[in-house]
Amino acid sequence: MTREELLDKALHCNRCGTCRGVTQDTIPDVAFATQCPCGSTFFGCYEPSGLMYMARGLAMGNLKWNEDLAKVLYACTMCGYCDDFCQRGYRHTPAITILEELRKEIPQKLKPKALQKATDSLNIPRGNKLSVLAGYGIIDIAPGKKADTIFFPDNTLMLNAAKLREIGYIFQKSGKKIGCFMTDPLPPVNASLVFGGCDDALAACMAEIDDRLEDAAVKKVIVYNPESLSVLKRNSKSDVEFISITSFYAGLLKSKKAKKLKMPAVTYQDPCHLGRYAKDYAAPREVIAALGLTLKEMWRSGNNSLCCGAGGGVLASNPALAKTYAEKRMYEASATGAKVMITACPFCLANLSGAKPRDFKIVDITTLVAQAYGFSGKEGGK
Amino acid sequence: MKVQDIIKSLKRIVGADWVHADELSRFHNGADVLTHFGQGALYPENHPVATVLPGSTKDVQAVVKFANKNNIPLFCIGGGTVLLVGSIPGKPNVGIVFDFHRMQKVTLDEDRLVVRAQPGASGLQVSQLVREQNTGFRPYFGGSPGTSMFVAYQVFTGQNKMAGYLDGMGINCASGMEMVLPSGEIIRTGSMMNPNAPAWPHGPGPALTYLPFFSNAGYGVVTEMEFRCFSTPQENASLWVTFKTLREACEAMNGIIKSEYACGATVMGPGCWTHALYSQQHWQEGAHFVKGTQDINVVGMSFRGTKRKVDYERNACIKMLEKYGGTVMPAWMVAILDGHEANAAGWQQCNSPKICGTLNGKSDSGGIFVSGGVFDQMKQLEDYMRIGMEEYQDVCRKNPEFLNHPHRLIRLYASCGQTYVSMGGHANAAGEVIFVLDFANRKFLPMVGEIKGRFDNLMKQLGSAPLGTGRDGRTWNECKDHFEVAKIIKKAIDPKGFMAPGVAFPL
Amino acid sequence: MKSFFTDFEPVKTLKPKSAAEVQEIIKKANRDKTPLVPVSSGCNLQDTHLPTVKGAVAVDLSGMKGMYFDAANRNVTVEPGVTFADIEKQCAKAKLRTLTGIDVPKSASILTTYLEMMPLYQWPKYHPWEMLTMEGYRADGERFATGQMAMVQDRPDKYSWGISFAMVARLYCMAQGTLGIVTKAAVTLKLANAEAEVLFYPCTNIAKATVALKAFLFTEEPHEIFAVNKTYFAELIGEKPSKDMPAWTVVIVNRGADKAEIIYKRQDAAEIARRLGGSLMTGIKGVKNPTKSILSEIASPTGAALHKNTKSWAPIVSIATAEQIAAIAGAIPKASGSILMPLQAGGCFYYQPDLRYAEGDLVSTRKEYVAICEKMLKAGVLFPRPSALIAKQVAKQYPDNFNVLKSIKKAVDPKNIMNPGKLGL
Repeated sequence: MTREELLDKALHCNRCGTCRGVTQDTIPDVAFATQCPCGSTFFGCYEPSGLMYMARGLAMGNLKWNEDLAKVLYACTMCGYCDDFCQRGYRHTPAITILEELRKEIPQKLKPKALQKATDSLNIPRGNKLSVLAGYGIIDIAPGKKADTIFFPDNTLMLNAAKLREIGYIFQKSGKKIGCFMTDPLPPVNASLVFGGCDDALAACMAEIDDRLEDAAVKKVIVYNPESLSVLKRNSKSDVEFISITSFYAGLLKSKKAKKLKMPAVTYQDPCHLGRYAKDYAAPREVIAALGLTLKEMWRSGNNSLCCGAGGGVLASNPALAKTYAEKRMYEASATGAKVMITACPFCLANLSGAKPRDFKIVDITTLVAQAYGFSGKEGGK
Repeated sequence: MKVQDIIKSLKRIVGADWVHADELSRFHNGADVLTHFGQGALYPENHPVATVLPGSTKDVQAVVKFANKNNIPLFCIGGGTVLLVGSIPGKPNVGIVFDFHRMQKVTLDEDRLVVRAQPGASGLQVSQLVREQNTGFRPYFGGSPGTSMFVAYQVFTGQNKMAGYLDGMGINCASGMEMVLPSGEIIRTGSMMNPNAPAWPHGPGPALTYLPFFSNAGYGVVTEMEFRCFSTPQENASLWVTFKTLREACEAMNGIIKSEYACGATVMGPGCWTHALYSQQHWQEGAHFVKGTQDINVVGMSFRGTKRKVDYERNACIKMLEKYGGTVMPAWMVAILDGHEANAAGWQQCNSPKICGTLNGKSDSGGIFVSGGVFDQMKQLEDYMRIGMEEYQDVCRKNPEFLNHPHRLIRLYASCGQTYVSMGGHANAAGEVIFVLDFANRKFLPMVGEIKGRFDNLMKQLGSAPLGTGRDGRTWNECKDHFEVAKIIKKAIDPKGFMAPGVAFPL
Repeated sequence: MKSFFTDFEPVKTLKPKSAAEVQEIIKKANRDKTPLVPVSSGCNLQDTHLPTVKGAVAVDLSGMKGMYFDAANRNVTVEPGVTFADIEKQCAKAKLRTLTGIDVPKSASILTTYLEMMPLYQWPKYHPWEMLTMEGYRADGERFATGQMAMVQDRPDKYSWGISFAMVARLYCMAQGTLGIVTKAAVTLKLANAEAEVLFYPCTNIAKATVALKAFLFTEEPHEIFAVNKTYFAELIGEKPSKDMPAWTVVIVNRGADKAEIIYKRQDAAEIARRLGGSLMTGIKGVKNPTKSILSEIASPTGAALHKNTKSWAPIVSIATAEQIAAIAGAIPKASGSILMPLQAGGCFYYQPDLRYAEGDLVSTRKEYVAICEKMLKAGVLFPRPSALIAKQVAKQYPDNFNVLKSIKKAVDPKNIMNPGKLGL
């Protein structure tokens, strides 16, 4: 983006502060009526308007990159609330586009160390466990092989055999033919490339992914990690349909009944990249209902959902801050009276687990769906 | 005192995390909505040395005492959304700005029927909390955006055109306050004089509760304020009636006022726009159909109470307004204007200042509130509307690039609201005219500046009321006998003049 | 008849005819250090127009009767000598009415009644916003004015908008003349409705009355609403107290343009009465036409004379919460008359119990008054216009407020000539 282009976009923001608030009629605690993890923690220029002002200042030459600006920039989880909210009326400030641009522009030495190495997330670990899926009938898409529908594993799954078993089990139960690039995995793109401003690497990966999907005549890709889903959806130039694994579950539970689970009341954390970025709010709720669970929504839910605090590279680069953000969310979760929180994102799961009260459980929706279909953990597949 | 030493001392007082002295923070709190709208051209930024985020009244006291001792100017910012130039420091590169966002406590006292709020709570937060508690009572919500700070906007007028007849302005509804004086001492007035004080702001003796009104922290820093409550109406309804001429519309509205029906009303003149109409569903302005409409003048009003009351008054007003030549707008049109219902129903509207700058929404367009003339005679008001439009057209004609452009680049809105009429206690001002200019590109800012200058002169010539802030020199020059007392009090309370210099009080 | 509230009287009375003369008087008083006490009609319920020091000179403003009746805009600008009676005819002609004060007679000064914030019957509906702008002279002899009156006065209707920076106008309200003398004020008039109906709701005690007042006010429909005890009620309707009269009666006055408006308001009130477990009455057993008496009293109050049968009368002027009223109930003598009016949607009440005394009992009654007021003060009750008998106690109760008021007083009246000793300043 040129300076002019950045300024042009940044000037949309007039500091109205609407993005600070939550569009609900009633809220029982003023703490639940604000948004923006960094803005509601540090206030001032940490609010979205401050970040937009940063873009304006840099574009106009009034501000120069330094550690103070970097501190503010990387306190942001890029949850997308400000952008989403601003879109709901006129004069939309493209906050996410601006924030992504700032992360590309910032000098490398000012990036947090974890994000300086963001491209490391593309490395396929040696001894990855994707072959576990084969035991559940998932077809390995070798060169020349074709598949209508494939599963896209991100790097949080590569070594997580337990999770792969759950997923494989569910896929097997569905009876559907699903493939996966196991031997030669697709580049496991995820949002850390965006958080780290790794434009070129991301572009190269997406080009490869698009080519390989075309070669394999893939029409649909099921994605487990919402952060990968949002990156794929936004950056792929192909005609492939990228869907969340929760959408897959919702469809499956409609056609193939599962056992109702006996659990106390639950609440649900909308992951930012599944909700606001991928606009998928309904599917997880359909899944929860189909599992026979009582859902107690937090006041900030759906497109008003408060970020868990992990995004934007915050969990990787500043775990203490990520925990502070998570604690705010757990305070709200506890206020619903529920004792279990369900989520559909491994980063939400990790970050919220680190901040939850002792008597509170955080559970992955995949685990519950697997349980409902009879998964005991002992199955090793064929 | 050196800047570094000031920052060091402040960090010792409130904690290092809560002193923001980096460049971005200084820039951020040196600009507000108006500065953003005008992109610095018409309303310049004034950056402070540091922003302090106090967490309690004790923090505020300590900082005020420190500023007093060292003669450091102190300013306060709320949400930064006021359209009358009040949020940012009065001088560049000096002073400390208080940002109250850490102080967001809100409580509703069901027995005394007051809402107590700290200055960092937004109107929306207060509304949401009070609605949740559902006691049948709620405070007054002025017509400011939802994310404006509740205490700040009530104190800096708070005008709810849909409820002004019955509820007055925000400051009319204040029942008590806690304020840190320039000396660092605390004063508690009215309903906050003691924990169970009645919700009455007057007394003993002269009321001090109103000292912060419009004075932008010139007399001290409000750290908590109480506002009386009103009953939450069981029903509410609106009525929208069009008239062929502005004069007819204003006379009709006078008729409504005299009947003492309705709880608030506003007139929108030709090419009109109103800042009373916000869509709760869309969180933006819900009245776009009236924009650019040159030949209709609309009177909008609202009713609240029991079903019988609402029905009776609405029907009575329809009969009355038809006699004045009005045509009731059809339901499908009224359905668009649903946003005001939040105000009429007694709650905070949820809009944002995005009402301006909607010319094309895609480029760096902006919108600026360029004048707010209040007139006490109809003729002056009509002259201002007419001549103002002529001045605007004259400037446009002198800029051929503008004239030859295929799209509209600057658009003038005039809103004539009989704001002051609808506020309790200001019974007969003919009305106020607000001109807003939208522009498509910042290269047209000089034109906007020229038009603004012409409006300023016109307001003075026609004798409009000055707005009452220190940055408006007219206030001090034309109403000397009002302000001498204000100055005397200022000298008695703030002899060093370090509280908000150049904001409410001129430099 | 000696004043209940003070033993001092002015040594001399000056009677200016114009604002310019008022200014001269103040300037001279500053030179001579003569205490001044402004008086208009002397009907302020607490004799605040009488001095609390020796040697004070009264500035009798009753001769200043200038006014501008602005029927089109429903306001009137008045000098201090203009009384409610003076504008009765013009109001009737314009179908307007003044806001009237509880126990404030029609011979009272309009300006002073509103300036001193005497409790008005119409406060529950219209709130205390009857004053628009004003002008006068500060204690140091300089002119002050508020809002549009501070601009060059080139026409008589240049008074409307407030520009209420720091609401400095409010500093002159309830100042008991300690900061200066107001020589003109613009005040609002209200619609004189064609129809009116008075409804009664009996209550067995004051606590039930406060609950009922709040409930009936919820609809925002009554034009006037208050509750009175039996003693006060009997005086209000010009009868002797009888066993048929309730211990407390809530009086609701609904007004409207036509009968239909009255009917719907009655229906709304009746529903509330049912929810409270009682019923509304349009009359009181054994009382002929209480409606007429009440409407007449509201339109044109009798004043203190309403209560002076064989004894003298001293009201206690206070604002209290329902809880506070219940807490101090035991301290109020049984023979008291009392009136109670809901304010702020019923969050608090204007509460005016009174003391009845024979002339010979003045000293002991004063002691009783002070003792009751001190109990009320301790309970948190507000005395918005503390009388001379309790001014010091009130000032001591709120030192932070009074320190600021004292510094304002010192700045505006360095020679302390304006009504010294009042308000504890």
